[in-house]
Amino acid sequence: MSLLAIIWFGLAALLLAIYAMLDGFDLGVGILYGFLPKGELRKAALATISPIWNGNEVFILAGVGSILAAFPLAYGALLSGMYIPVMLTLVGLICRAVGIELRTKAADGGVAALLDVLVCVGSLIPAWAIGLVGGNVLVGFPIDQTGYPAADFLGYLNPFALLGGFVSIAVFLLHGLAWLNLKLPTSLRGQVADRFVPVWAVAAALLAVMALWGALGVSRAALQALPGLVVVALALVGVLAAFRAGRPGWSFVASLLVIAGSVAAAAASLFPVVLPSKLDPANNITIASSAVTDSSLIVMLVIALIGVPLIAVYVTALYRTFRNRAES
Amino acid sequence: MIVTGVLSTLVLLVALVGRLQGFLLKGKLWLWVVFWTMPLPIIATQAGWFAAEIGRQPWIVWGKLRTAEALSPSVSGGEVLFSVILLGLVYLGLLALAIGMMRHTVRRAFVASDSPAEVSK
Repeated sequence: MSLLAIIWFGLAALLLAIYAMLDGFDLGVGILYGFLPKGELRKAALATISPIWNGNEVFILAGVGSILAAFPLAYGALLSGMYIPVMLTLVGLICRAVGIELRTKAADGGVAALLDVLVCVGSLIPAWAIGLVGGNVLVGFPIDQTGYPAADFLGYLNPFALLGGFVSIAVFLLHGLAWLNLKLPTSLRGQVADRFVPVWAVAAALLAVMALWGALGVSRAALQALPGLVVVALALVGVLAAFRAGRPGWSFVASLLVIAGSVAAAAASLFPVVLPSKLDPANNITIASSAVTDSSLIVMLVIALIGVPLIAVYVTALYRTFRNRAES
Repeated sequence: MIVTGVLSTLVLLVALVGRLQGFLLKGKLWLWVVFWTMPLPIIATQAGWFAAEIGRQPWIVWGKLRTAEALSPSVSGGEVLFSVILLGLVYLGLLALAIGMMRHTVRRAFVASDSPAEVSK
């Protein structure tokens, strides 16, 4: 296990965390969108994410792409083992893209109602699948001695992974509410603010159950997850405290940290395994057993060191342009 | 792909000559010809993909990896069939949506150009 491979394990986790932190709030807003009263509020909620959602989504390509490039065996097992959830996510992402982009161009009526459903359901499916896949990675895949997951019809619907799906939906809803609280016009903010505390309570409870279950019953290296879980716990308190204190910016930052801590805890509890086997630890796909050669990893690192600052610049420019509250 | 490319180029050349000479452009027949060139770029793109994907067989990476060897042992035929049908339905739905919204946009443009009141607003 080379140092470069360890760096790439960290980078892949970082990119996936950035994806969940950024796309998390627009997925949350997308789900909420379907439940908001029709009219001004809905329009304003969609307007807060429409300039940025597709930039946010790019990071899932960066994250999953870095697993493909650095740990191709893990990538193959991950996407083959999760074939149906991944396909459903793909369909969801296509549908919400169409929904968000065409909604403002459609006259009210049947087409508009259809697009509203596409935005909501198209956000719900990926939000669910992210937690489902994450839960399955922690539980492990039925990887046999060939290094591939054995056929395991609907095996990915195990209880821990199903809980993971509910956790990611709840956390993204909270993240989306924190975003709306920060971005909606002041006159409309009150209408989403009263949903904040109940959603916070559900997200906190689900996260607590998943952390306990994961640490005591699932993880093979639970102690390594502890720093991440401490961040999650403190950040969760911060989300509510800042909201109560009327500081929506800090509330959103704390919500970002909830997600960052969750991904960090999950990645740390796996290390040095990339994808555990639930059949036999000897079949685990590890950093050492799945990383490409160091020369490939160096080339990738150079590309990342050039590309990531460029992305950071345009993402910063984008968020600066739309930094103000969306007063109408 | 090549046929659609040549056809598009022909239509473009005829239009160019017509524009320079100042005729041909107003006839209803010509407008129909131009109208039916709309799907040509889409057909060209699809035909290009067909050529690349089918023409490469039995290799998935030319000369390196055969398609049969690249097939994932963990994904069942039923799962692949499910995803093909699902994506097929989604794309058919999107096609219907796209045509519907294009019609909507074109009609609105006609309504606007037919009545002066609409144009002025």
